[in-house]
Amino acid sequence: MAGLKCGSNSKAFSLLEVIIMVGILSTGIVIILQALSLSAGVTGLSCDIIKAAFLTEDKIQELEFKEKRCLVTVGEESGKIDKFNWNYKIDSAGQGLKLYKLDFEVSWQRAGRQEGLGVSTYLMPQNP
Amino acid sequence: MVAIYSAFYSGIFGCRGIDDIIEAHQVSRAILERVNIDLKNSFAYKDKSGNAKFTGSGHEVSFLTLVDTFVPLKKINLNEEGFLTGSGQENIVRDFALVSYKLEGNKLFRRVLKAQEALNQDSQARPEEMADNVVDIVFQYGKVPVATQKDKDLVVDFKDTWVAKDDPDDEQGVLPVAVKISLIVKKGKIEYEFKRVVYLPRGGEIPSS
Repeated sequence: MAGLKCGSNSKAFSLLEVIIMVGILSTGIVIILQALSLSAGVTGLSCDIIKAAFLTEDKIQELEFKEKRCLVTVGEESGKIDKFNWNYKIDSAGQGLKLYKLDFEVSWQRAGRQEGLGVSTYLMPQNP
Repeated sequence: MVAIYSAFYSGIFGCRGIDDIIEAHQVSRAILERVNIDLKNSFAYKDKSGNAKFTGSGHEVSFLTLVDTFVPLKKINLNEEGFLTGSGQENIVRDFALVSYKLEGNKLFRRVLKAQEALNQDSQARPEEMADNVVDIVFQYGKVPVATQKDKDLVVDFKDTWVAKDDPDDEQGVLPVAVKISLIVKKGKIEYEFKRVVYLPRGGEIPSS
């Protein structure tokens, strides 16, 4: 029975070569899976941003409608729709100015992290 | 080998799911943005027979609005400083149009009747398909109750249909102040729901003839 020859002419893999190969393969698979996981996370965040942008735009439209009817007053308000927490603050833009500054923020939790979207604009009621 | 196969299978499976999610969100975003722009540009009008042009039900809405229209320039002019005017961008003008959204089966259609065609009730213009994976779209129309018009808090009541005509008991005019849109899009086996409330800048106005 012919035995395996060790040395430079050996046609089989050594244990060390197999360990290195498995290590490289494992690392490659882990990197690929991490990339896919990251891609899924970013996609989820992108979808959340779309919904948060819709919410922000709707609320600002509502405030603009209030502005047109002179129902805008200085103050803060907050609420929650699905997983999105929103709040806004209306402040006077300056003494003597018939102008309000609106800071609107939406925040939500994603994979244990706090994500957010903020918009600032000015409102000018027609008859403040 | 099993480990490699499992890793790539789960990866490809995940990628397909991601593609579906992205497509569903992008389709919904495109639909809702288009409806939003059209509604925000809408205006009140009624014809000589008193028929106003904003009508809506659960799955269908029709109104007059402004849309971008491409007008080819016939000649290029020189302005006072001697520069050419009439670039490609200036070929796009805003024209009035009767825009309708309608859900048929799982397809959402948008029909645009531009300029004079907007007042032609027998128009044979064909609608354009916006999306083919819409499970449901529901429009609701908001108005400020007469009793609360002078309140400091804004109260908007939403109802399922909107027939634009002069109602002696209704001092709201013919345009709703807001339109609530609920859209459900299906991609793969999952349904995605989106909601928007579009406030009409000219909402509550009484139409001019």
